[in-house]
Amino acid sequence: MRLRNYIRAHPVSVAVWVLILVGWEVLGHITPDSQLSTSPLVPPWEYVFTDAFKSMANNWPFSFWAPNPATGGEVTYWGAFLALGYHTFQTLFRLVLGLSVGVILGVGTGLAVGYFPFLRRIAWTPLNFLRMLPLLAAIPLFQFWLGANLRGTTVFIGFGIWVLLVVATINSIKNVPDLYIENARMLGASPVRTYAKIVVPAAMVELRTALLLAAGLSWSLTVGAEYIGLTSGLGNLLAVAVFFTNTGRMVIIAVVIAVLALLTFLIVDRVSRRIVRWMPQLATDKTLMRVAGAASIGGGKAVTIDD
Amino acid sequence: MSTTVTFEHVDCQFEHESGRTVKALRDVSFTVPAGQFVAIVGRSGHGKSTLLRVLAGLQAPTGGNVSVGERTVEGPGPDRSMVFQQDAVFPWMSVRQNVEFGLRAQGVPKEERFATSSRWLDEVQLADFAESWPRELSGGMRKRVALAAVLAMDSDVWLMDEPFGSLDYFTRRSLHDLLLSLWDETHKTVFFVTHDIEEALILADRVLLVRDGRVVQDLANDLPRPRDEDVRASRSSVELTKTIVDHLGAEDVNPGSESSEEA
Repeated sequence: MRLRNYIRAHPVSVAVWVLILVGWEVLGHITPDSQLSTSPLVPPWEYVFTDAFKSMANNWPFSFWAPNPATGGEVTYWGAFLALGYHTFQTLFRLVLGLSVGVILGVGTGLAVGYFPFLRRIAWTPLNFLRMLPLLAAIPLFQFWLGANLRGTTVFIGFGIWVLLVVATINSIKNVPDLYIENARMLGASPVRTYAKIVVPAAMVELRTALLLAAGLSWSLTVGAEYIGLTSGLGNLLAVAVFFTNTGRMVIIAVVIAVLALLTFLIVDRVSRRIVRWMPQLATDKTLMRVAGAASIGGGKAVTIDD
Repeated sequence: MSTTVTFEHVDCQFEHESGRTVKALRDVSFTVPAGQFVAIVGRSGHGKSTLLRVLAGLQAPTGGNVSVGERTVEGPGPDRSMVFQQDAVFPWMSVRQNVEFGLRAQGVPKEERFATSSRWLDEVQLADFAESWPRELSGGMRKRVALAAVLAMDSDVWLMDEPFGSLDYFTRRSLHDLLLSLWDETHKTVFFVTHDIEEALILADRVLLVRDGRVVQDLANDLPRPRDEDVRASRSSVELTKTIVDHLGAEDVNPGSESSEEA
């Protein structure tokens, strides 16, 4: 009944989804099989959810709870499910750790630098240079310096988020309307009080958008780091699937990442909404989705920089 | 305690973004005794807001001297408080926190802050909204919050920069009544910047006309209070209005000068 109501309320989006799913299936059956690959070029759904999914059991690294195919165990759906869960957990752990470190240090540095106009001017050029660095290309360097392990990955993700948020925080502080600062001065507030009680809260409006971008960027960074150098996580699963040209597994991993990235975005949205709950009008869901799109496509580069 | 406000040969010029030097105030001198309600009237861009900002201490004069009582103005101070043209109420603080902000900055203890803010919120009829966010209030109510914040500061001089400009006629009229009753009660010195001649005549004892950065006329407004519709339709009120319009350069609005500007 609820499904029927939903279809009636959103006929266009339901139609688009049906079209994509059916179109994909049709495409899967009309594209020729490749001699070189072990799976169809465009994997039809019945293949994705059976053989392709089941073969993920090969990524289960333990010999308990499910048989380990690497040591001659059977390939089972249960093993595939556990493998997907295990690697998803690995990815989420790295992501949450790196994102937290990056957010705390990035906003902290931004607030500290933002207070002193002199420091702001000194930091501006190097920070913008760092922002221009192609982060994904820096993954091998980070792994070379710090190791292809949790420490290296956390520092790498944290660094990427840090750069984005330092620049965004300083920007947000610069964009706080003079009116509020003048009003605070007229009411007798000291510079420190004005900064803590006026500038920082006023900057939160713009900073919230940057936090949403950071949530999107953290997925690019985590999956990228796993893809290139780590031996677990969704990014690593993807690398293995690419190695075996298993298109079905690639589709499953891509969908899992997309769903989790969307969830991350919604959680950051919900939490950051609390911080600016006083705001006259919060961005509607539509504009938020546009930001989400920019975050995942542009890897966080959608923030405009002006001085 | 004397709270006479004095401007002595005050000049104020600053660089415009285009690199042009703007002389916003030229040789402005006047004295306002304590408790007077002064309207500063002029057309947009003729320096009336600069005059107020210099008195506030938000803008430094480039010449001359501004003093409040015995003290020369060198920055914002507790003897002056300001209601801004735009909505300057802090949206991330509740109504009460806004009113208490200045008191907090001065280190007033909690109980006293609460008592003071309660008193003035009551006075501006916002007692029921003390814990609301500013976004839940109308524009006129937010102006009353700004008024309450100024009242709580208990400064000797109130500076008002076109505070009611963005409000509708009836809201503005009710805020005029409120402002006048508060002034009656406290007898502070008030500087009220406006381009609305009617507003100036309703409120002020004295009207300073500003044109091209100079005070071109200093008019006493002796219309009897309360200045209701009958008073404002009286002959002396109309005469005053005419004088003001004459001094502020009504000739600039005729079609001839407009076309010459275009050419």
